Amino acid sequence: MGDLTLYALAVFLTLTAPLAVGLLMGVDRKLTARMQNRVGPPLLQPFYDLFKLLGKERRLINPSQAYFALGYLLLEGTSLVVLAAQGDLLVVFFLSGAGSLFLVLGAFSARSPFSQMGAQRELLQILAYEPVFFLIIVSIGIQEHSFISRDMSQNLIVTLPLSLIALVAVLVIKLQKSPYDIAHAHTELVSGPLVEYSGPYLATVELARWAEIAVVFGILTLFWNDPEPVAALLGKMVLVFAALFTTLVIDNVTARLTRRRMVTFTLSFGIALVAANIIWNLYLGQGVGI
Amino acid sequence: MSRISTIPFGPQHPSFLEPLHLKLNLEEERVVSVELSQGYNHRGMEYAMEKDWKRDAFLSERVCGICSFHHGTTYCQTIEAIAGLQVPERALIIRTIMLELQRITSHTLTLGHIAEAVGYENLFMQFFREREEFMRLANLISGNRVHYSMNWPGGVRRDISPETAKELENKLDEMLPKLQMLDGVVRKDSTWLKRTKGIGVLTKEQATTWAVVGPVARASGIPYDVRLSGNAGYHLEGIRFEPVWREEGDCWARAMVRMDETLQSVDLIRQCLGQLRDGPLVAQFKGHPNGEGFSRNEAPRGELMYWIRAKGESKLDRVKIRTPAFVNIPPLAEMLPGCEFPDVPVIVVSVDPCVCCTDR
Amino acid sequence: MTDEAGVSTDPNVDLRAKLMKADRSGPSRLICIFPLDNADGTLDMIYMFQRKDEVIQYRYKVKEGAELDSISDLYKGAWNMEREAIDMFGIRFKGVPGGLFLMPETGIKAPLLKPKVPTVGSAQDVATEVKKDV
Repeated sequence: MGDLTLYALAVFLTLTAPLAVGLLMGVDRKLTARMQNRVGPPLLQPFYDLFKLLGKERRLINPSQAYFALGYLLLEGTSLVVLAAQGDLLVVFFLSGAGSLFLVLGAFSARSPFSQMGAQRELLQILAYEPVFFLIIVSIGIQEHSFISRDMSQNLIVTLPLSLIALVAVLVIKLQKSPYDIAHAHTELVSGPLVEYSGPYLATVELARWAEIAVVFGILTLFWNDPEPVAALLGKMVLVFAALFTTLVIDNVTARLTRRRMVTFTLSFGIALVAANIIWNLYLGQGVGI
Repeated sequence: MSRISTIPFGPQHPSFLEPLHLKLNLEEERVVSVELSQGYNHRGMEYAMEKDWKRDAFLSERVCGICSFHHGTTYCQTIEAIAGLQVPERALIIRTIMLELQRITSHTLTLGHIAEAVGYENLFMQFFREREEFMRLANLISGNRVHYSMNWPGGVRRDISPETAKELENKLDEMLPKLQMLDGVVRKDSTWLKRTKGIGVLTKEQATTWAVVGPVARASGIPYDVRLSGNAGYHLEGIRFEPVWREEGDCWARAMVRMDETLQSVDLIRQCLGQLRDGPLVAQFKGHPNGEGFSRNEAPRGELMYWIRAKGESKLDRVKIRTPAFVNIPPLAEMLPGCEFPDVPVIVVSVDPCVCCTDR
Repeated sequence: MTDEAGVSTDPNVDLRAKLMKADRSGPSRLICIFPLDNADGTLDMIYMFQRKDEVIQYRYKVKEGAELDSISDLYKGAWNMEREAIDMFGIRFKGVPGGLFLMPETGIKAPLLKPKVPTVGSAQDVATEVKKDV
């Protein structure tokens, strides 16, 4: 693929991926509502909300909030560009992680008790899922002998099934679903780190969140790589929907657990899963060396 | 050297339906102390009810939205006690049916609210879905979903026709399996148990000192239920029940007491429908009440008491309403310190604070 | 209902003696504490308890504005009931602050007390007077 086509595709994917995630959020809310015996909002509701927020009054506690929100959006966007250009997965991971830190900083910059507590909980959430996420990417790197996403072979889902399950667990936390929707627990902390954001700044943070989720789903789609484009696209979509559906079902059959349990669960169970997968592949599978 | 931060669980908060202020002093997400502040919903109902005793049959219902029929019935019972009226049996049975129907709607609301506080939104939606059918039943019988307005001192104002009684029975048969499914979740679901067992314990001694009533007391090992003392239709032939009680005293016990009482109410309504005989609906009463009297009733939240002094004119001299939430909310000052911050909404909601009853 | 009524001995001494009697064989549960206004400068303080299956009332006549002992050391649940009596009737209890309901400083004090002269100076007239000031 020529360089120009590559860049055009990267730009196209970067611009459309957050919008696709927005549509996915709409599907999420509709499916959740149906599972709960309700009708639910229209499919395009997240877009209606985004446009409504853009038109609202601009109020800030201090200007740093706006800068941190913009920083969050730019970092996540850059991470998405790198992934869409089939670049280095480690770079994608670190940029995305830096972006989520900017969200936390933005919450810390506002001096309200709920915002401070929400920021601390968000940090704890990051502490819970990032090691697992990193280890999943390392497992991909070890298996493929490369971190460049262009070089992924097609049978990752067969060779790294436990990593896939751990990725679904990471997705549960990122999508703020029970049992681990700790930071944004609306019955305890109003909306956690986002409580002091409103209007266009909340829209910025929301868009950045869509980009962050697009990064995770992007890495999820790497698990299916078919040389034929139509089969590849279909397979990736099936994978995305299956993961989303699993998180929805888990959300609807659990209450919210405490943060201690979340950290204990991911740092023990999540890491154990991925480590088991790596060890199996290295020593008991093909016996490949690094 | 630890830092104490103060978080206002203010009058406006997503987990409270009604305005109540808690000032929590936290040390790293553990509650150290709490200051309760109420009075945001004080409307002066006791003063307003002194104006006209006939209007009060409807005004007393508006003290609370969720135990409204219990307020109305207790008021009418007090006037009947003062005037020495003998309420006909059919009216007593109809009152009992509506009291139990209101108890079901109130308990399903509280259980749904506890589920929401715990983060289990699906369970919250399911409880409200089942509750909707009971609201429609109430609408069928009385014409209203919330304030039934069926009471008058001396009896009831509306009748239950045989067709309505048949439909009520069919609907109860339809709803019972669904309530039993929800009972299974509340009893055994693992994440629910992790969030409610052992949280917010109120021991039996504390419950006695704080004079708590209702499901909160019965979950702490005090098996007292005002319905045993024979108010409304509970003393009639063919109506039998045992008070539901537990000993653990934590949030789970309070939720289980309410769930068991919901299933018990369905059974009680069936018993009442079997006892419905023909007869007059209201005992006639001329003139104005004169004297003092009080009456009690088991509202969904506990014991409700009305004490009235009347002087033989259309005004009343003194109306005292002792609502159950008034005595159930202060023990929070003892239940909250020592718990983690995420448990605060769960404990507060499990006590079932009806602030409009508390503040009147 | 048993009514041990109308005794005008000092409630501070008499009530405490009754509550501390060895006769508490079942849990004696506090139901309510509330005053009544007799419109002649005295209030009736009523203490309602439950003993086993019956409800008992202790009644005491006290002057308006008197100061009584609090029973919140025996029953913690009495604290809020006494605060309500302070707010609504202006009676006082030792060691108990008022302010249960968030009444404004410029509002009517003791709103449930009966007006002494029916037409002038009643609670309604006081309310309109306050409105004119603010």
